Amino acid sequence: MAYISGIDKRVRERGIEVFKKKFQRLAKRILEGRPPTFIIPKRTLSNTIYDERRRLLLLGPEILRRSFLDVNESRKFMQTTLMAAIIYDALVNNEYPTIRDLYYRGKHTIVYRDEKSRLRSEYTWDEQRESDSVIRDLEVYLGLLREELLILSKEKGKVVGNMKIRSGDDVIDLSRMGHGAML
Amino acid sequence: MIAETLTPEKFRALSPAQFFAKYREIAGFSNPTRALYQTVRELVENALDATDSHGILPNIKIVIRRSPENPSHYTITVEDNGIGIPPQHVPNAFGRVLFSSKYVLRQTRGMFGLGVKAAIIYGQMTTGNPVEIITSTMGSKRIYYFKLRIDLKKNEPVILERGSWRKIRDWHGTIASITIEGDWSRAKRNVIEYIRRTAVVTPYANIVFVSPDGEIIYYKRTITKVPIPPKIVKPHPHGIDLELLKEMIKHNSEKTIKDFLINSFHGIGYKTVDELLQLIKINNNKKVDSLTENEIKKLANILRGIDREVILQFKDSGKYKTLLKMLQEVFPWLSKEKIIQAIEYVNKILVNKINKGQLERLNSKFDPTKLKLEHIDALVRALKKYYPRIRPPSPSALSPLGEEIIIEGLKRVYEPEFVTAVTRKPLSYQGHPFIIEVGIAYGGKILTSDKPVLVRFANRIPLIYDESSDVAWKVVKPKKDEKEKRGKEGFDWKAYGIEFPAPLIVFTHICSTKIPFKGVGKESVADVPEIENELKLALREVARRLRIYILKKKKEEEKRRRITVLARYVPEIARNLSIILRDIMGTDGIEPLLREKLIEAIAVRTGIDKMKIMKTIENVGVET
Repeated sequence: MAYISGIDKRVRERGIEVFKKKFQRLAKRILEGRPPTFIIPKRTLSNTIYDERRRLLLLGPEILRRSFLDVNESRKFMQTTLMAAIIYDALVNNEYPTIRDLYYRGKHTIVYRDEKSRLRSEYTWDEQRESDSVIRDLEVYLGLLREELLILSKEKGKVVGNMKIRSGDDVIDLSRMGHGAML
Repeated sequence: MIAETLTPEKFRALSPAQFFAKYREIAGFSNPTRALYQTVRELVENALDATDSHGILPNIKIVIRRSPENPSHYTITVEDNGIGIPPQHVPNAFGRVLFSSKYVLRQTRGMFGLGVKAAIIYGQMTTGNPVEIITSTMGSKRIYYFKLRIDLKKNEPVILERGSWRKIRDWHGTIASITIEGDWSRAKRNVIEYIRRTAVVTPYANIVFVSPDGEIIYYKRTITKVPIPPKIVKPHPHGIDLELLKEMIKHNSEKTIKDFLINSFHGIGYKTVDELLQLIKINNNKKVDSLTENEIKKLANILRGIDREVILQFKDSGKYKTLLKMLQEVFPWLSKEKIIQAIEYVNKILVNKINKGQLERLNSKFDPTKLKLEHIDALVRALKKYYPRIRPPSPSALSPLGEEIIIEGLKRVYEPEFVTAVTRKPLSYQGHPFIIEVGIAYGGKILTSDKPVLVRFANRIPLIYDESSDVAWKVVKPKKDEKEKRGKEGFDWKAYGIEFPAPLIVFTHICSTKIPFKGVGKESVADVPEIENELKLALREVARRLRIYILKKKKEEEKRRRITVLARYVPEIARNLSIILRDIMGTDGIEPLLREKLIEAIAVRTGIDKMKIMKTIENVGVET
């Protein structure tokens, strides 16, 4: 059995709670027939404030509305819900995905019929740039850093040796893999 | 005259039949290809005249058979359900050139009374075969059969066989068969195009065509309304010439001039006749046979009225040194003072209209050969003040198709997504009434092409050859570049939302008691300004309607595109949210509920039916 740190466990539980709270509110909006919208603090330079006392860069009060019903934003809206579902799933299953993992987990085709009833398809996202951007959106939307969502962006150490690790339903045999197996 | 004195050549008279045998290209029989097309055309047009002109819904069957003995000989058989021909008239109707029931002033398909006979003569000369006719009139108890040829020298029918039998079923109509030398492989395209276009103007007719190769084309009747047959009308004074006037006087010698004018012409009433006769100083009660040659000339002159053509005819004769002299000759019933007044009036309007560099003052000494079109049009307007008002030519002699028939016809042949048509009000050119009809068909099964496809008709006859020289093409063809934009020719399709290549068919129909054909082939219409202008106005009207349709369609497409952009993400979003929410809300029932609500949100925003939105994600699975 892999070691699960107590801190990680508490962080996970907190993340799950924030997810539930935020998305319950969104679901309520939808079920009440109001337009589905994410309200997200803007991540632009103009909306960045320097906190002198704490010597930190903070986000300002400007917000952006990502509305599903806006043709220009509907794809991004879909991507945001997709990323949210994947991260939530990882939290629940005690996983530590990298951003590349998240990109691959989310990438699949959406099949639909166009106005002439022909079958068409598109990818949920094309490049990792798109999924990375959605991760950053979710961080500010939830008010949680990616570390608090147990997402790894770079390697923090290596686990090597004659060891088997269970991650969710997956069993990883480290002796059979290179050092990149468990970053 | 001169020829007689200079050469010893002997002159011999040609019978009308011999004339057409010799100059067959005049009637459209210049080669086997054209002859095959022309024969089909003549027989079909006779068949239609025997049916729709009499209010009968036509059933027409056209069969072309290749002769088993000689592959370049073809038998063309056309059957109709028309009024039939009384047996005593059959020999003359098919065997004597220039014998026709159509020599009256009304719009008919044929006009010369020689078409079908030219085909018979051509067949006789190339294959030696006689024409065969089976016919029965509506009331008749018998069906009659004839086999005859034309004696070219005597211009007389020669009956080779005749017979009759009792009618068993209630049939009336005519079946005519002519065997000619033809070239099906070359004529095919135009024959089929001719039949297709005939089908456009006759949606009320069943038309069956069987080709020599056994192909069958069938146009099924889609409407049971037959256009109102044209009436016979009196000639309009503006359309008269000296010869015709003399002829009319000969047949009315008993009458006084006043009665003659009122009874023989359209558009002249009691008031007008007094004004006219006062102008040419002829006593109202004078008998027409006592009119002097000079008086008849004056009468012919004043009846022709005032228009551009009248002046144009005289302008370049070289006989006239001054404008005054010319106008006095053209309008002898106007006093010198009145003509000078008119010229001065023209000067006044030209000063206001033409810039200084172009300014040319007219005066009574002005050389008439230097008259420009704008001078002439202004003069016509000025002189008309001194002319009694004659009602315009009667359109009752005309038989326009009407918007409904054009629309139905275009629909049944081309199956477009949009179609519209307009019938303009009757007008006249040179004393001949005419009506312009224009239709437009767009999209659907119409093939896309670089130019609009023009289908032309004159008095309900399709015109296939010589398109580029026809006035209709001049109006319909797209304007090419900026330079041409300022020019008069062509149509600015871009301004109406059409960019070529586009799937577009333009239909034009000119009906008139006299179609101004170019040349004798009767395949293209000359550019008469009045006709050109009406075509332009009619085309603009239908093109405007098309533009409205196209704009509306684009808007709707945009809306539908918007819906698919939104709706395609619904299943994905519903699934994602349910992954997070099912732990709170308990069951999996949340996913379909979210789907439903998201689609509802799209429906509320776009105003489009939920069922239509659902089509985007119909039978589409969600990947996990």
